[in-house]
Amino acid sequence: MNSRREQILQSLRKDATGISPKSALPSPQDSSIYRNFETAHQNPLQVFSQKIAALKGEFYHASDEATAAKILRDLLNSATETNIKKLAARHQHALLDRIFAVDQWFADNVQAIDHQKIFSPDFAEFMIGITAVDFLVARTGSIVLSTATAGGRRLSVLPPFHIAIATTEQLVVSLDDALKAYHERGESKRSSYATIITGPSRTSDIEKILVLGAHGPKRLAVIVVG
Amino acid sequence: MSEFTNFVSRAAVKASDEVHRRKIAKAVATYDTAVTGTKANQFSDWQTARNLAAAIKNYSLENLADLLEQFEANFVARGGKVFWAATAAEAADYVLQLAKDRRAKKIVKSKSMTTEEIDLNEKLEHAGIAVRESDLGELIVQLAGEKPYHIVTPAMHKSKAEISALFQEKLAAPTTESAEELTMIARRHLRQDYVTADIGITGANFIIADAGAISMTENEGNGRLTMSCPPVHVVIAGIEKVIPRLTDLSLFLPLLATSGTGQEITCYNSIVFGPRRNDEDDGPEEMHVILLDNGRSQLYNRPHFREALRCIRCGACLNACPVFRTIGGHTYNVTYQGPIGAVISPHYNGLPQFQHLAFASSLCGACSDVCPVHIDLHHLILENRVAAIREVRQNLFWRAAMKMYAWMMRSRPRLNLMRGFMKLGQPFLFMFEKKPAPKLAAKTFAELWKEKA
Repeated sequence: MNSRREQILQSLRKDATGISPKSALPSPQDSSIYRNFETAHQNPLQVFSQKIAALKGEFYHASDEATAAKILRDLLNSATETNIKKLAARHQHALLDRIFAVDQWFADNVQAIDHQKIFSPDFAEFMIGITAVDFLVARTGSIVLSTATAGGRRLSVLPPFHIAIATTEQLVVSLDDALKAYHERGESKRSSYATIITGPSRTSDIEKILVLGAHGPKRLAVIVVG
Repeated sequence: MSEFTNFVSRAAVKASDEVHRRKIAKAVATYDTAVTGTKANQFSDWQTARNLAAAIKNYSLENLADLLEQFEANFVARGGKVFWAATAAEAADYVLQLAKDRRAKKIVKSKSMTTEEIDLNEKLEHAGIAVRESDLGELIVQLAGEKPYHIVTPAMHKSKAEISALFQEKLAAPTTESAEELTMIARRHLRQDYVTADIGITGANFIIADAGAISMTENEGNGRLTMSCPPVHVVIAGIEKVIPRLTDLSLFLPLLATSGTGQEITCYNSIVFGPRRNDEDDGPEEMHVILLDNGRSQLYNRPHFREALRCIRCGACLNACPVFRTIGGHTYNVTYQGPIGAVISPHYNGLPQFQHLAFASSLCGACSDVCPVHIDLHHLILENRVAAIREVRQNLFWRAAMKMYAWMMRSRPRLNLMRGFMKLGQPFLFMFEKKPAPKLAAKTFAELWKEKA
């Protein structure tokens, strides 16, 4: 707090332009403004997978956790020409723990990171970050991550390849659904940070030419279980 | 030379620079194609979407003081710090003091026009602190020693070849004509800076009152890294950025992306509620939000102008403006270029010095047509002209000329006499112009009418 606070607030309360009466606050969701994909006889998961593909992300659907583990292992093996050993990192999360328990191979090849390890200088060298998610948004093909479910802030952005693992229950239709659900969790369950990710990192700053992997992950893969 | 004469000479150079014109025309054409497609694919009713956005922003402005207090209370409860800055200097000094207190040697920044507005980089560098712009476009203009050309596309005016030459000179990078390779040079150049910087500075696209959070929109991921890695995160945001509810983002994020770049939603939209919580793996230990007034409360209380504070800085009015496309962003010599700049800059930077920007418009209204929050930009530019003439331009010659003109126009014989003078004088009037003189018709409409009858 500082002396300017009162001064600024006061000048905003003068209301010298005399706009009155005050207007009502409309809801941000007017269903008529967006194109509605339900009318095109598509289910949300189909829409999500198409959106991800259009954004040059990768989509994998696994019927169960064992299949998800197989897809994940193949992805990790294909990710680099060199041995991926100790170049992939993940965090502690119930869904991830179950998938990683399927195959002993993961224990030798993927590091579980925590508050200590994430600050080690080596972490900047990691090639792959594996995280859980909070929500998947069908309409925009987005994934929503918060710090609590995604193992902090940098695991999903510093490594050049981000693999997000979700379940079909986490899929919602619109961004509004995701934000509403997140907000309704209440103060104690909201993290300090949440991010809506829509495709791999990109830029068009040079002659409007699209380039992937500007500063964030160049590759984004989403595995949906269920 | 005054700001005005400088403006005119810069504009004259740019307007006849065909290479510059081609670059901007190409960039704007790419933008237009993307925007048109996205508007049609994503929205079934774009007009309703922008009316809704304008209504939510109007509500926010009517309740601005209350919403700012609500934001502050929620944010501070989570350990965040809020600083209210009345002027650009106060905001910059706060950051400078913070940097000194934390013994900061290096600061990494993501793109923020508000930091440009307060000349933050210059002040920090003057104090011996290294400032790394991390947005690709911002890095390019920083290395070139220039200001951003455009509020959304800072390096719109630079070709691949120019950027390659710049990277070769400043970063000892190999020559390349590939946008991808140039981007990777920037990526490698900044990689270590995120993890070694002492402070990360970002702007905010929205201040969210009910969540006590800020939201930041980007595509590259440099913003996410800037607010994830350094131990201190500083946000500088104008007080007009407030929206009432977290869920309002579900309208504003698609709206901003559509008008800003022609995407349905940008790659990353981060919502920051505060510094790292104890149960989280990483994140800054400290987070500061600087709420910047710097002329906004004055604009707020100026008749007609409050709606200019609805602006979400998408840059659509710049791309649509025939004057911007001809004279380019740097000619304006202000932080916010184009039509929105012509509306707000004279009030932020001093009407006497920047009143001429009100005349940098054809008043065609293309800006008002594309504005996603329905700001009546060209009428506000006209308001600025009125203010400029009433409050600043006491030009006796101009007044006499206008009086003369009015006198001429009020009578047919006098107008005919005027036409005679025009015919004689025309070659001289256009002597110093680059454009050819328009041909006057051989006969006037009145003469033709008479002949027909």
